[in-house]
Amino acid sequence: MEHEKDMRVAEEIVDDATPETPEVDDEAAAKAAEVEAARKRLTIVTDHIRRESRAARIVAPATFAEEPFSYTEEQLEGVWEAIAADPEFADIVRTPDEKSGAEFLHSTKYLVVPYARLLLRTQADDPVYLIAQTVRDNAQTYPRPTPVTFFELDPFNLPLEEIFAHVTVIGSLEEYADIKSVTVSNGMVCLYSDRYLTEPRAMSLAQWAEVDSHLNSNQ
Amino acid sequence: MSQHQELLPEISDVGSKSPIGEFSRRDFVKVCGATGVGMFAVTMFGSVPFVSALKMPIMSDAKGVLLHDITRCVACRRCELACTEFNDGAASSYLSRVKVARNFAAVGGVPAGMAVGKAGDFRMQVDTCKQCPHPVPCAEACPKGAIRADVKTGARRVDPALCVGCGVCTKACPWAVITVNPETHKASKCYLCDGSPECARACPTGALKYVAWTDLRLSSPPVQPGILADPSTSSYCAPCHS
Amino acid sequence: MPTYGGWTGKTLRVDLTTRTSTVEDTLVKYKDFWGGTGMAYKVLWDETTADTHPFDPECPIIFGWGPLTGTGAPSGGRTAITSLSAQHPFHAVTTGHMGGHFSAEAKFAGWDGIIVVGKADGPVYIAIRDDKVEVVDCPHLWGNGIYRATAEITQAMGGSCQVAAIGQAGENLVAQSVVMTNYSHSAGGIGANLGSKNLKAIGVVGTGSVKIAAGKKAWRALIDNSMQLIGSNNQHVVPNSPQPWAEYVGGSSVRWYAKKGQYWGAANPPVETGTCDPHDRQSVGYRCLKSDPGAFAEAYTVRMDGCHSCPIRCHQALSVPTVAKWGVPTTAANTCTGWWGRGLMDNAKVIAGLSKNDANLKSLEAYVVGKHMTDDLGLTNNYGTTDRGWTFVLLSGPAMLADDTKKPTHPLADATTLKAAGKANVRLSWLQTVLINPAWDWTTLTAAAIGAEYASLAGLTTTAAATTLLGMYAAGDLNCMKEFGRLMAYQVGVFGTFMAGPVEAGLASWETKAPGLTAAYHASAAVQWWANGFPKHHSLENGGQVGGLINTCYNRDAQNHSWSNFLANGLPSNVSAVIADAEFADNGYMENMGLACEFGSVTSSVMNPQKAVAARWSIARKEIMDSTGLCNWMWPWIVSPLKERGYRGDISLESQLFSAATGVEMNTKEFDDEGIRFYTLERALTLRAFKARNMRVLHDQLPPWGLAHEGVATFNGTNYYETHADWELALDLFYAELGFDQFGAPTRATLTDMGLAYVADELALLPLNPVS
Repeated sequence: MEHEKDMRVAEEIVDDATPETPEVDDEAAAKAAEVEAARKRLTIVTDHIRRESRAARIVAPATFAEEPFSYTEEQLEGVWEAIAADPEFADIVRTPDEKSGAEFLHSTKYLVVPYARLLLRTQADDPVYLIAQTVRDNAQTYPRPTPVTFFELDPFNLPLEEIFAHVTVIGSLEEYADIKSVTVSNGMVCLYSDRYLTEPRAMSLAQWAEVDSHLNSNQ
Repeated sequence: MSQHQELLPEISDVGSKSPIGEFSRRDFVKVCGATGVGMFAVTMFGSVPFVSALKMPIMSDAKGVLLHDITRCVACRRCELACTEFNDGAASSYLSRVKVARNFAAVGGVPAGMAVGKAGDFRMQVDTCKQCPHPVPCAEACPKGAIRADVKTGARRVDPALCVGCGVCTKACPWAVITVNPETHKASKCYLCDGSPECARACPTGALKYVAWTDLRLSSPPVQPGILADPSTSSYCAPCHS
Repeated sequence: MPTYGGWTGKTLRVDLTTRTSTVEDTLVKYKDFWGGTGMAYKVLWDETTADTHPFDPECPIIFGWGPLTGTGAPSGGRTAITSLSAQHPFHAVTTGHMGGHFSAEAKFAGWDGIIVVGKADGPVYIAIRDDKVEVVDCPHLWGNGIYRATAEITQAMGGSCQVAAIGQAGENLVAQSVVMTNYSHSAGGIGANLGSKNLKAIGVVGTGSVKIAAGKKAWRALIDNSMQLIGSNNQHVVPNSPQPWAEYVGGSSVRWYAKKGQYWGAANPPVETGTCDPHDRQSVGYRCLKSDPGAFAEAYTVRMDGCHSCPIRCHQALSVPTVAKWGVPTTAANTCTGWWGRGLMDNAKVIAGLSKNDANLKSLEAYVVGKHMTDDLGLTNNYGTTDRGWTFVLLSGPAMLADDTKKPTHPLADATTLKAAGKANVRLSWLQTVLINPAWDWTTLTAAAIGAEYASLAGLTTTAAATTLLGMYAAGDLNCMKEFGRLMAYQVGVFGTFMAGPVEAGLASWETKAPGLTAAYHASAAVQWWANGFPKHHSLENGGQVGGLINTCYNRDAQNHSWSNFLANGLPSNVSAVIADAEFADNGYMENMGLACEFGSVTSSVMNPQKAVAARWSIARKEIMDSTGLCNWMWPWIVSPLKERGYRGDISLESQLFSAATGVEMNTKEFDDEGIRFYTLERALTLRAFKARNMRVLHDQLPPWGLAHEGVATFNGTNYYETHADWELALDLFYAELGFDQFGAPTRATLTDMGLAYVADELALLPLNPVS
């Protein structure tokens, strides 16, 4: 909650922070002004990352080179160094896109790394990869199959027909040969990776999750 | 993080250094100004038949008040539990300073989809103290002047040292949110927990919120006709309640 | 500071024959049994014999809760109503559980429990206002439903009054009847016990308080800690959709539903459930939008509801204006199997031609009409048995007997195989049972005849057809539900008597017309019969041997979520297993308790010692909950939603809350031992009812569908089937954990250690097997 006290509209902060050119010869004063400006940049950047994270969004570092921030490369280097050095900003992390390697910033106080990965997969606009890799992750981690309707949810928001179209594509690609499906008794199609689950195991887990677990409360 | 309005920061001291029950010096002066007409004898001590003088102070508005959102309440009654357990060390719905239990079935007692409550449309009416502006019905009715503005929050608070448990306040409050504790024989009402109300903190849906004071009297239907009786002017009441 | 907190110190005993009440000192008479079921078992042991019938005036009904009821201990608003069971063939002890606010109000009134004995000479209700207790004549309420009884008693006693009442079903001594409170919380199987005493209801108003022994600061810290560790319904601790704050995502079975864009749609204006970061105290109540009819019903949800002191709210409060045409209230709340009418319209195929919206609404109306029918008449569906069992009996039973080869080889083959053979869909809801015309002598009917009758009536619109149960059902006329309820509550005809009575008795009478039917019914995985007319409830499919053992323990469906909650919490299995290892070891239990865990719905390993410990622990916790007032659908908390704790919960929390509230210091293992003590007394009561000691054979065997058939591989994670040998080993290890002998009877040494030597004296007189 205390972070909210620090959060202000980015534009306002930027306007506030526009330093006036010091008309003094005193180097110390100039240096102090620059330190202050750097501190303000640090606050603006971290505030922005945290606020965006609260809104379930990740931030490209290049954002701060553009309007309304317009920071130079050198200024941003200073910010990244300050973040790395101060434990108060331990929540500010970079998570790379799995395929491009491009890094994005977020605050783990509000948006954790696994969710950032899902966002990255979504924004990469490669839904075949999104679906296949997420299905693999779920089969490995929990382990459990993934119902096709999972990709209708936030942050993916894919229409069901499109999901099925992508699944068809997945079925035709060698690199995704491990992605299989089972259909349970209510018709739900659930995907899994046979690297981590056998077909019978996937079927019983899916049947349980999609139908039988609800029957305990629902029939 | 919370989707809901935060609790207000702690209210600053409104005046006197004394503990609860002391009104502000400004109010004192205001009252003294009125005595130029000789209508009131402002005295804090001694036996005075004119007991209205003890509670004559015009209380400033409270700094905050509890607001209840009927659309968010899930009738869990954790507010009642927090209020009484953390203030009194014992759990009770009757003594709770936020009133839920009595509205449970249906306000009006008649179910069938028309009234609120579990038997009606499910909305749960919860009665909270409005921290009434002057004139404060419970304070006005109290023959002992036991209800004063709290130093920290301005909440209308019962001073147990002065309260004799007569219960006239319970009849004066139009929302019946003040209760006499049958074990301690003292009246008890919402005093906003020194600015951090336990009920709002305990509420799992944010239905109860602590907000800047606003006059909620006209937007909350009263549950009883409050008796603005001044025992000192009633010959019936004076013998027992003076 | 009181000597003890939590307890009020007073237990109420009402004798309806003499219309007198006495006050018993809880701390003298029942402190060693705490309250709830513990106390109930003691009362039943002392005051009944093997020949006591549930409807005998001297048979007590014990309304119990415990020292944590009415306090801020989260989810503490339960009531356990215990007596001898009219549903059970030997009238063994069972407990019906109801939530709501009844027990809290009783605590505020100053009561640790209410014991009712005797029989009134006419319809009465018990009115309790603090320490003032009256037996009030109410002939005007008899013959009325629970709704009217509740409304009139509340009007008489005031708005804060909580009422527990029976409907016409209980009055008519229907075995499948309930006691209900607060319009949606019912205790199954116990309604007829009240009916037999002419007891319509109990109304209670309490203006007192429940003292907490601990200081205010200490109690507040403990409550705060609890509220940080709490998850969602069934203590599932992972959201079932991706959330920015959540490392993990639960599957479709996980009951943390909240997300942005999800609303209590019928609130005005709608209320969003939202992201629900677990650190946000003011969002706990939004986590569980449990919408049993389906996500579409979120638009009809006014809010969520539930029991006293519980922040989770697992009851869905619906507003469905279109049900007005069926003559029922347009608002309805309930959860799980409390919603009768599920699937009704699907199976009638009435919705087949409808748009999705219209189909959903029709289905929803069936939920609401069904709930009102049962909650007013006061019927139970015996955890879905009514739904499933009679479908099987009437439609697939006779045909199945003819074809012995149709045995399932895979749990899913049941549906597929039967479908392929042209048999009825085994997932049929009970609604198929309304294919019966009360005028028929249906004991002579065959499946073919029923099918033909249905086919001929489908689509008919004549008045004659429309007025039969079958006709109404086929036309999608939900008055069929009300008619069904009427037949059951008033035990009308052969059909009504069957549906209303004990299941085994019904099967026995049917057996004469269709020999072998009982065995087929017991063996069907679709029917899910467990024992003695009761169904499974989180059994082998919920933890393998642990689930199976839990299901053997009682005399009705298990009503035990200690272990099944944990298995479904949403965390990765290996994370849960590691937490189990740590949490149990740190509290003094066996090491490597992760070995007790079977996730999903299959069994991957043979019986092991950890599974016996897990089963014992699960039983202990259920008894503790039922004796303290806590909810076993929420507690205990092995896990929590907090990543910073490694998702660990705290299984010592209940003992901490108990110790703080009462002032009786007890660590978590001592706490469990008390729960086992209560269970041991329940077991002794069961032996007494069976008039024999051989529980292994008479009580603890698996239903046939739980055993693997010839050639089916077991314990390899592909199914949950047991083998005879493994099951006997499971019983061996479990009995050893409980201090029972090889037959599953408590030993004298165990009973003596528990201060129950007098129990051992009586049990020693029982034969091993029943004398025929």
